[in-house]
Amino acid sequence: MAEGIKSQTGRAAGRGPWRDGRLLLSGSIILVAVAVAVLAPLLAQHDPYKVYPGQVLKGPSAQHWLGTDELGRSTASRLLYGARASLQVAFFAVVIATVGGTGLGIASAYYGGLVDMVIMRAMDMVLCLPMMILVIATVAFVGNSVTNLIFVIGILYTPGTARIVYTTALTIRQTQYVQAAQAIGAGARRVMLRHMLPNTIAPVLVHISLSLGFAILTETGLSFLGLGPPPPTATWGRMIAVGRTSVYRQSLPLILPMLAVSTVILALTVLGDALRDVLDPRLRGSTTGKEQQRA
Amino acid sequence: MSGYVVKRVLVALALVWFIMTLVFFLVHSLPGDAILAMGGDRPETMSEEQRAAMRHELGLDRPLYVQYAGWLVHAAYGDFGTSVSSKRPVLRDVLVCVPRTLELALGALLCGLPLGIVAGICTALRRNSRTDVLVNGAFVVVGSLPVYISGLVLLLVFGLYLGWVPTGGFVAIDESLNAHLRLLILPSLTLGLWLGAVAARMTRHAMLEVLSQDYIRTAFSKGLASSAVYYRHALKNALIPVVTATGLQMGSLLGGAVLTETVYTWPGLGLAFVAAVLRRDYPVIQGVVVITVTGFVFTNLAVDLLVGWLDPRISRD
Repeated sequence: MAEGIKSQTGRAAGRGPWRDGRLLLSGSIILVAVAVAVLAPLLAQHDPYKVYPGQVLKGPSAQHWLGTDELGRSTASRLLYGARASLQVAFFAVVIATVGGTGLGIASAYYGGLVDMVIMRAMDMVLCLPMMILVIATVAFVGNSVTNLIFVIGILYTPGTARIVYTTALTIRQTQYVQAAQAIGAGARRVMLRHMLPNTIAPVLVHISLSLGFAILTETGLSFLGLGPPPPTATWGRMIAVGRTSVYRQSLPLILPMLAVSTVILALTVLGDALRDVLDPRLRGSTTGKEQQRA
Repeated sequence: MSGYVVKRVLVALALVWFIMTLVFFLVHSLPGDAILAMGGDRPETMSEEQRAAMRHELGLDRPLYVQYAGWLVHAAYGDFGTSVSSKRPVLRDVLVCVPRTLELALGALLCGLPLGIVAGICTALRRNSRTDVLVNGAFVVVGSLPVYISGLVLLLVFGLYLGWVPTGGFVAIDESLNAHLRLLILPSLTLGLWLGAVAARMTRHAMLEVLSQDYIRTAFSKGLASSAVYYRHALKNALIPVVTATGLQMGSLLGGAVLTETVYTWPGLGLAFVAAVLRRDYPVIQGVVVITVTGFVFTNLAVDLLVGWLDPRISRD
């Protein structure tokens, strides 16, 4: 099966998934955003926390390319550092959700019975609840440091990943090659790690791309509400929340972070769709797959 | 059928119990002073004896399981204590906000569903045409943007630059119905556009699926007019998954309402919730979470039962 998926992906590569403009465009946008987040200290012209007195809400100038905010800080630098906060929280939260969700999903599917029932019922319970309310409530109690945000979002996103992995793993559990592996004496660990795990990668990759988008939405949303990483940390959400109070005098501190959030989220959505078309052979043959490719 | 309903109600009650338990343990994970502050006084100004007296008064010196049982019983009767900031019972403060959020949700449904369903039908019937690609693309953009960004864009364009509608605030419905509804337009549109994007995608998908069925070909081949096939035969069946999907979006709609209410300072549940979190008003946080989740769980249940009744083919496992 692993070989099967590989060769099918390979065939898709022959047909040119990179000629699918969406993958290239959205992928490059994400790469640029990641590079900006990682290299922010090198790229930023000014310290994002440094206040330039007498330069409050100025337009673009030679000193401040994108102007200054309501305290006289460089908008460009804060924008670059803002990428850091959002992407950091989203990335590590999704790592937690992916590791946890994949583990729980595969274990449930492999062991079945009571283990399956307890784990998956618990996951379904969390999935039934309104996510944003749950995130806000938990953050209210545990506090809003970056680490806490990562854990809260990561743990609350785990059930979503677990569901997706579980569905795939359940079919793999029934395949003949798993039965064959067991017949020649492969233990639980070997079957789960060598046979089931590699075959769940395609749906997990698609899900990672989509949940990165959701995690960024959640982090920027929390920051917008004033519940994100505490000030003076530069976050896109907080920049938007603060920027709207002075939009009458200077719109750049509001418009630019709005553009940044929108671009990254759109890119992740498109990337997820494009990845699904390339990686999921079942959808590619179907009507929806075809339409998505054409659209 | 009745057995199925009973089972679903039990699952819903289990969810409500789960969230009550979660809230209880979150509250008890707080440092001691924060719990004392829930009584409304400032613990840092109290002497050790006063703190002990206060702990006793709030029942914090009782065993944890007694406190837990007490919390469940009180919460079941709607008693969430007193708001630290307003000094009024939490239930009263929260219930004032509920109708405002329901209005917003209803407004969003009224804007979003017709828009989404019409757009979904048009794009499905003109599949892969330029209209389809454009409308679909527009909805992908609108549907994936966070509501606080689309909300701000609408606010800047229609409120600030064009000045057609007020940019935020609140007028009670019995004060001036007209002003009240005018304030509701942009928030409803913000949430409605997002909901419409979901509905459009679902309708398009469901219509295409139904149109490929044998009975549609039969309907065409017996000479029915295409409008009769599309609207009488196809649409009826295509709308069921749309209703389900929209019902399932209620959780995201609630999350969206929190952000939308903050953008437009619409004093519903969401704004009250965020204010309570920012003020660390824990009794209100507890109350909002339990009341919201209970309402949400039972709405979902109602949607599910409604869909099962509309479409008996949907299996009841």
